[in-house]
Amino acid sequence: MIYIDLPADLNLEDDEGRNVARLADAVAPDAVIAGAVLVTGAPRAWSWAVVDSVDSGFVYFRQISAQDAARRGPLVKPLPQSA
Amino acid sequence: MVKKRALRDEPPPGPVELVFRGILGDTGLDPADLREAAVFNHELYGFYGVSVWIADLAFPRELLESTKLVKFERYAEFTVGGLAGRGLQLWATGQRPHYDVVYEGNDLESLVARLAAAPYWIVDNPSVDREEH
Repeated sequence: MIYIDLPADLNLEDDEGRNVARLADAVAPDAVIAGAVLVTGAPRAWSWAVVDSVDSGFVYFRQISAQDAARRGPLVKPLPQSA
Repeated sequence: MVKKRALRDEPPPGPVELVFRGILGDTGLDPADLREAAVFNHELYGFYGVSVWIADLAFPRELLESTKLVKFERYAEFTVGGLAGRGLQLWATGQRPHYDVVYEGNDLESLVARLAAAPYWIVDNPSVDREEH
């Protein structure tokens, strides 16, 4: 099962060719900042992406390859720490 | 506050031109997905619209399958004429070859019902990028 950080319809592009999603739909909205690397889309149509900007409750991002995502940082999230 | 959407000044696509939309889920062209897409577009741009891609000489099917649709295992294929036959319009929004399917009067339920009822085929994308997570 794919873990989607930021649900989005990858059919939609804005006037600059970027995809767009609602910030409020993000699993962890606080982590959605410019430059962040996320998994976006839907379970049957998803992509690695880098956040371009966050504005007025919308997240603008560009799709990137897994290779590019790996270059930008670790792709595996750390396991939650017990108290 | 909604954002202004750029409309391209170009001739409208002909009735036999092919219109593609990537499918998000397992159940084909799901009205719930279409409604969510239209509602999201309304929040962003102030009108109900559903994003699609239209193939032409510069953007043939094979190119769209390996670029704009590359993350979709399957996509729906309409024709411009088939959409027009349901009273739907195509607005040239954003960058080529992106369009929005819209319905006169900006009526959400009519847009969703007419788009879901328009003739379409489901196509497996031979160029899908099944990247490992």
